[in-house]
Amino acid sequence: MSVTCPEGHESETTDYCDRCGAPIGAPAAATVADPPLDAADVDSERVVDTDRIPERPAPAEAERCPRCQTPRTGDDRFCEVDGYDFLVGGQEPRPRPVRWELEVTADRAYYDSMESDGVAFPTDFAARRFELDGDELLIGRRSASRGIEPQIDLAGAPEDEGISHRHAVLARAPDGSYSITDCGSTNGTSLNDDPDAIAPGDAVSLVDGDRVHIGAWTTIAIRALPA
Amino acid sequence: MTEFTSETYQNEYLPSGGTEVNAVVRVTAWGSGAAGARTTGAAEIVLVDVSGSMNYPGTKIRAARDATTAAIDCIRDGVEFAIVAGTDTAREVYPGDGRLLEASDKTRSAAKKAVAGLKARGGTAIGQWLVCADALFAGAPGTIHHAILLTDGRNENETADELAAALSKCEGNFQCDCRGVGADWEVDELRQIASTLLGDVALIREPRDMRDDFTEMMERAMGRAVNDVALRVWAPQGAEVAFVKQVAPAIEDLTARRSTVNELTGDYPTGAWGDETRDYHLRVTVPARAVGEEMLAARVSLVVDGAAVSEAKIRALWTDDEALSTRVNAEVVRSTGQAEYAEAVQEGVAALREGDDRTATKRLGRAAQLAHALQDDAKLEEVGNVVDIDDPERGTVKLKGAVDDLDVQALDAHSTKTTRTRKPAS
Repeated sequence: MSVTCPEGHESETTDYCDRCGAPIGAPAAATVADPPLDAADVDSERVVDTDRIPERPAPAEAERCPRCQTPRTGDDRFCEVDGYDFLVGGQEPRPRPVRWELEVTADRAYYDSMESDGVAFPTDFAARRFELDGDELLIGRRSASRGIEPQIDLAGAPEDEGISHRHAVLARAPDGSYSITDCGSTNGTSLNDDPDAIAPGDAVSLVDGDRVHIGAWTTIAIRALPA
Repeated sequence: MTEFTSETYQNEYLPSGGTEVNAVVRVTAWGSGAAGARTTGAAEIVLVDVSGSMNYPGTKIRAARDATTAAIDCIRDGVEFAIVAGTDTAREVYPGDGRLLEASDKTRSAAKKAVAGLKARGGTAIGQWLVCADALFAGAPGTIHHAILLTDGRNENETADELAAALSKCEGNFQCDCRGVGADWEVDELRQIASTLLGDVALIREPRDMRDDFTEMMERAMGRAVNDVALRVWAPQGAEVAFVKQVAPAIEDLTARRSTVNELTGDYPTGAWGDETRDYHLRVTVPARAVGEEMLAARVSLVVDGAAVSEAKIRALWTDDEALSTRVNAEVVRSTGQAEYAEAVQEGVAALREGDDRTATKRLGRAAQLAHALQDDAKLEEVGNVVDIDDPERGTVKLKGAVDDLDVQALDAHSTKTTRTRKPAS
């Protein structure tokens, strides 16, 4: 299928002309009206380009997704409803990891980087695993006297006393992934190779393979498990 | 199956008459499978320096043997591999006879035995080692080719032209990560090799660190599942692609590596991909249009076997609203700063080595200022190991009385490594 752009070029691509780059099918003014972002915002805006494709009514003979019957948008590769791949055809839907696991280990490299005074590195530590289940999970050390019962309880010998009883919270995002928020712990929480602690109260999203460092020698790796 | 997704970070608004469009395109590959998934379709060669200098101190050759043994342990069953010992010539240590062998318990243990017998003597001619690897890889067509090069010294028994000739012979045939041990190797030399062969460069400070580093490199190489991926850039008629730079995980200027697809489209090589994220900074100059008009300034796709697997659009929108057109995108600013940091460090270190104190102070001062602005404490610390930083905000530094050569080497070697800002959870 080829279309004609406002400049009169024949174009194989139907969103913008494949010769001069002029938009096809929608006035630019529609996008200019987007609310400006705060210039002081230090985080970059995330422009997912598919969001910018102007809505167009599908032509009557438009190809339909064989799975959900939604008309195909232009020459988009994936069905916008269920992600069917028009190019490759009916394959398995994208394998999204739906289960997450934590592996808690005593991490010598992290311990060495901390130079914690008077805290010994444990000689005998078996890795602990937690499968994540729940929208909000507390990482900490249980304290009967203070009534703190973390879901991810790291109490018990050998115990990393650098971990606060109420240390950090894992929260599940709508897409199933988790973020971590330090609850104002005494010694802080850091990620991967970043020597700086994350700011208390700020949720930071975690991806498969991230390593969370807490206490004097504890590293928690988060892993996606196959569904 | 590996999937690719891409996102564009840019300020698409241009002032009236504006022609320069900057954007960072972030490409993420996922679904290659957890480490361990790959069993076939890969070939791995370890090139280990056994020149005479590896005897000083003697721990170096022992550590090299140890690291090579560790690397062999990481090679998965079914991966074809070979070990090459390099001096002023290249010697196939295992399996020999110009071939690769499939990894198995038996072949790995035989290879380790051969490595245990390596002695250090002779000179250094890295080009020869690469050509030897190239010939070996040719015996395993259609697989992902990866090499690890370990050296402690300068390329002394070969001219720069000979090395360049060897590199152009190998380019595109395999990827090579380079590791320098100690303070005597030429950073520029290894950077040239790694850059041409789409690998990275790092300093191994202490011979005993080699084992961990080799293990990590090998795991990364084995995790790669998609070979021969190109970044394809289309720009409209009348536009010009000013540059294409990879800016994360390390800075690599790809501009000159363009191969023409058609009049408006070019491909830039990116090597093999595993599950990972890379950022590309593109600058495109476009013919200006009237205020209120829009234009697609570039279409950036990742191409595997000739088919596009992801696509990002870089747009230009002309506006007379200064609040929009003067906005800067944080990712673009960061990428620009990181590229300038690498340049400042490399020029500063070169000046330092030549004894040009004035240029060294100026350029390393600028590097400190940029590291400070990028809030990159690791970089700031590396600069601080070489110069005394008085005021990072203003970039005022003083040369130190005595500097550890290894610190200079580390600053130089790591200058192109970049860190990405973490996106806060929404």
